Amino acid sequence: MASSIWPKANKRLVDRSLSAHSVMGLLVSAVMFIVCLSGTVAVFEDEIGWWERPTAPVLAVTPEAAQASAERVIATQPDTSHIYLYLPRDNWPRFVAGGDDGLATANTEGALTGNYETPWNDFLIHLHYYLNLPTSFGMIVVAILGVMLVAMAISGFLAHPRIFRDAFRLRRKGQARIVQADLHNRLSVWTSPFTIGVAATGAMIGLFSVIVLVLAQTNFDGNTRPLVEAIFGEEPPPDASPAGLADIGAALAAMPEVAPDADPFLVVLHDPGTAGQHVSIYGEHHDRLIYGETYNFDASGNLMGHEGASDGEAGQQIASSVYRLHFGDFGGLAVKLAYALFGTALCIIIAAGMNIYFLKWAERGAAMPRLFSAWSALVWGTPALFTLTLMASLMGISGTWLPVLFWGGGLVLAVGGGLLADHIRVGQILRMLLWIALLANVALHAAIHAENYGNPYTWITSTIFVLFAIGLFARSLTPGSGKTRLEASAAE
Amino acid sequence: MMTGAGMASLAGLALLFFAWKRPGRPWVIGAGWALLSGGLVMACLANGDRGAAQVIVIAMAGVTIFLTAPLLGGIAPPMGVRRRRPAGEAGPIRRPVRASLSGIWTFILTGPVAGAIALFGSSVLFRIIRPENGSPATAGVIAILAAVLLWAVLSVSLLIEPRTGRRSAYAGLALIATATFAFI
Repeated sequence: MASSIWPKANKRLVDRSLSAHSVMGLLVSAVMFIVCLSGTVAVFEDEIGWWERPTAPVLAVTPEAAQASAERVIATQPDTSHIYLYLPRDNWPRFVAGGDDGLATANTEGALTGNYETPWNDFLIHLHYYLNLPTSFGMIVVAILGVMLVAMAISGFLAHPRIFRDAFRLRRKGQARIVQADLHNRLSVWTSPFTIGVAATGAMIGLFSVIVLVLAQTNFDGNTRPLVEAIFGEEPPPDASPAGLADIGAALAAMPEVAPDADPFLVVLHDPGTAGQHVSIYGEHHDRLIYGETYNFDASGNLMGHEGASDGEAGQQIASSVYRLHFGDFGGLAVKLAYALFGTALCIIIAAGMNIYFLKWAERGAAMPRLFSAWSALVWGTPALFTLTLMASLMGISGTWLPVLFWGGGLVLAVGGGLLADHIRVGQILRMLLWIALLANVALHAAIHAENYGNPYTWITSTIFVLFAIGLFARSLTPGSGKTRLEASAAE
Repeated sequence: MMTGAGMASLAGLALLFFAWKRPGRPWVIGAGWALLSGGLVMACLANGDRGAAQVIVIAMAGVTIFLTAPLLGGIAPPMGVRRRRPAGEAGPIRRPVRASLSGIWTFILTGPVAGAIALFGSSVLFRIIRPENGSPATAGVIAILAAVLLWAVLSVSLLIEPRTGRRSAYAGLALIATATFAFI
């Protein structure tokens, strides 16, 4: 017999790793699925925000218009500690300005044209970042899920002795558990750089404050500032004595000379109207993964220096690169679409992982139809609830009602699914709810924002929703979707 | 150049697929990996670290689409074959209280305890690699990344150990050791 070129795996290690992988999966799959699906949708937060709050596009902002908008913000929010100006950039043709008390859209002259409120987008982001828990606690919980996802990737690799031999094997037909296992394993392996990258960067972002606190306790007598300032730069000392508003326009006008390769996308004025005020301009470097280099200017618009994300310590550059890697914001719409694909794959991996578990128990004669059905309700109910909350948001319901609707609805669906004890049927019902709600959302949006449908961003997003709904509808018509139960074996 | 890098990566993947489909030609595997590596280098030269990330995304997207496109034709639904237990065959013995307590203890060990070990361990690492003078930024970021990865590895390692007693002992010793070194 010809010897295999592939390395032999230790069977005991494989079995134990598989057991570890299963334990972790059972523990976190449900919440992990919600975080991953919300993250997948949140890849398009800019586009969804734009769809939710469509306005006339702004393609460029002059330094004078930026200054004018800052003056309008300070006039409406005199006590704000910061002024933020989000400048138009690629795939984001908007100008948004504001302070601590909220953001407003602005036009090319810098006039504020209305509140920038995207309640559903805010709900989605809050769900993904914090699971709608209090922010500090919620972020740590989500970050720990990131750690668990890395752990599951590691245990998955250890439990996968035929990783090379089965590299491209994906059976679509045959025994359901094998099909689900192939789906789970192939997608996991090939998208592992994404999974590990996104999970680790998410965990780094969420656990940053906790880890820095421990490092400070053990190395800096409990003072976190030396490390935080070494990584993110120091702020000049505050001086609260009153002064005229800083010259943001001069700082922006200086940018082409100061950093010709950097595209300014965010301006932050710290402590506006005080003698200690200074301007930070974030510029995107298109050949770097860093979020942006921060160029600091004094109140007169003179350059004070930059923080070093682009050319400073390696640690500063790595820390600054974490965000774009996590959010998939390093290659325009193409990378965002790829991230959505990988995110969807990750959701499929999680769903298939649990399917394998339920199918395995069914094969052992200990089927759990109610739990399987509740799981199906969670998998298909989560996107359905996203669309229902979006519809509620379009109808003017916002604030805490959206999380209440989402989590309350999730509970009802899981219990209802469990009572129905038919995972296939539950999936069918919720997919139907999903496509109907998607179409209803588009109809409702078109009725409310008809005047903005000349804007390509608006109608393209609506079209994508409609196509997605049609796709789901078409799938529901495919033969075989009527089978409903864990079927009893003929060989019993 | 980025286009070339992307094409090289996809060609490398195609070669790996053919090597898998028709085994016995190791040079094809070598060529596949060479093209993948070449694509990565080209992307780095073309667009820095962003280019490297972009070409990895291209390769992953290529293979994900290749694998999942046939699934659009439908897959077997997740309907299992439910075996009925033959008469007289005893079901699995269940000890819900003991199993629950064991599960909670395992959760504590692999979650918070592993996390504490990882945090103290990264703290020790930070102390070792931190420069005497100058910015601690790089050492700090390495320690933060190490804490995340260490936590994940420790969780898996503790779960791989099947005996609860040994698992607890390993975790306890590691916690004491790392905490001691972190606070010395």
